[in-house]
Amino acid sequence: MADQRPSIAQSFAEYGRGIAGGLLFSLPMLYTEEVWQRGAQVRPLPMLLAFLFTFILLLGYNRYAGLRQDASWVEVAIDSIEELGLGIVVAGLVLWLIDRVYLGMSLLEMMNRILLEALVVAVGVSVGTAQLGASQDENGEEGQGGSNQGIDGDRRRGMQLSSQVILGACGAFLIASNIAPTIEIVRIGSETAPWKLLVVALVSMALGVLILFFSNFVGTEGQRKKDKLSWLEVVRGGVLTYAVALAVSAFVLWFFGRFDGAGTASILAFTITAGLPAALGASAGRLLLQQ
Amino acid sequence: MKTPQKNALEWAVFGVSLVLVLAALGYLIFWAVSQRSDRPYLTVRPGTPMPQAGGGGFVVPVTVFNQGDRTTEDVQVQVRLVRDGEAVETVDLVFPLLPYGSQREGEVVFRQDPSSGVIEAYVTGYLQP
Repeated sequence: MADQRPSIAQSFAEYGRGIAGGLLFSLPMLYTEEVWQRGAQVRPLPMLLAFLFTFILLLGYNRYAGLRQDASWVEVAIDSIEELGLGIVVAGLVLWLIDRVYLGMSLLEMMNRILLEALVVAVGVSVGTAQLGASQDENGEEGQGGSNQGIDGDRRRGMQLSSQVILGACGAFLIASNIAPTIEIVRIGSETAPWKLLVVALVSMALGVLILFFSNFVGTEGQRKKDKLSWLEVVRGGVLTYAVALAVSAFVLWFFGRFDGAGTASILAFTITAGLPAALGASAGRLLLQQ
Repeated sequence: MKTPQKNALEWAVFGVSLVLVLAALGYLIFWAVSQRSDRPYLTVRPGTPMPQAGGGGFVVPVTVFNQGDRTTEDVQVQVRLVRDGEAVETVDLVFPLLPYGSQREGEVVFRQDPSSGVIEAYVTGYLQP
């Protein structure tokens, strides 16, 4: 039997990339007071839901954009569990280093604080593992290609909608988690004039379209013909991306208790406010697949 | 079904991760089902007084506990020095955040020697976020 196992050095490099990615995307959150506090306030059910939500994101991301395009679901699940585990370790170490968890604090508070941060670190780890190492493809290992190289056009179209939603949600989750917990979202949302919030929503959608159009434009040079890019497709992509961004920012805001006692208008205003960075993250997430 | 190709390091990382993830999940589920009330349960305990360094007063450590299932904010604690059934000195203290299952420590300073009376401490109010 041919030994396809990667060398220890290659594995180290892969985990290193993952940890770098995890820190890159979650350090703002690890340094945010509102997130530490939420660890002490959150209820069990939202915590379980967030855990589940993150695990589904990880499964989807590893399936559609992970290192191994030919991976079976077992391998995808193994990767996802590894990423969650790394997330817990990295979040715990950083929080300990900056003295946000310490011996003597209650176990419940410590666990919640670490787990809360670990979820975002885990998504960052998966993105970092898959994306930061794209330049190593020349080594030519089987099944170790970069983000897209193993996908042919037909398969790509077949899984387009679900993969676009998952990748958009991952990008939106990474960015929204770092911004939505802050009190600034509440301030902006409640102090900004409604017509300006409408402009914010339009700008968010326009940004998404811009990024997607740009990425399609780059992508055409390699694999697609230019005339395949219709405006309808672009608009559809923009609306879909913004919808994903809004849904994810609403989930993160709800998780961080920003909807507690808020009226419908406030809920909408907060979601739109957090939706701008989330839309950037969502379209960047999709760009990773389409480049 | 093919066996994933992994080296020893990767299996070790996976093993540790699996334990961590299962432990986290188990803990979350245990926490969810063991929730009884949705109330905070606050107690406060004054410690042993000591002379204030560099000052003429007396420092009394104060510890508040929240053994309930709900986090409280802005916990206000009143510490009194009672002599002959009468509060001769009163100091207020605020704890900005007291999560469930947690304790927080603070100190109050009395001008009079607490050994001349009895120290009493009460929680007088808090927010439920």
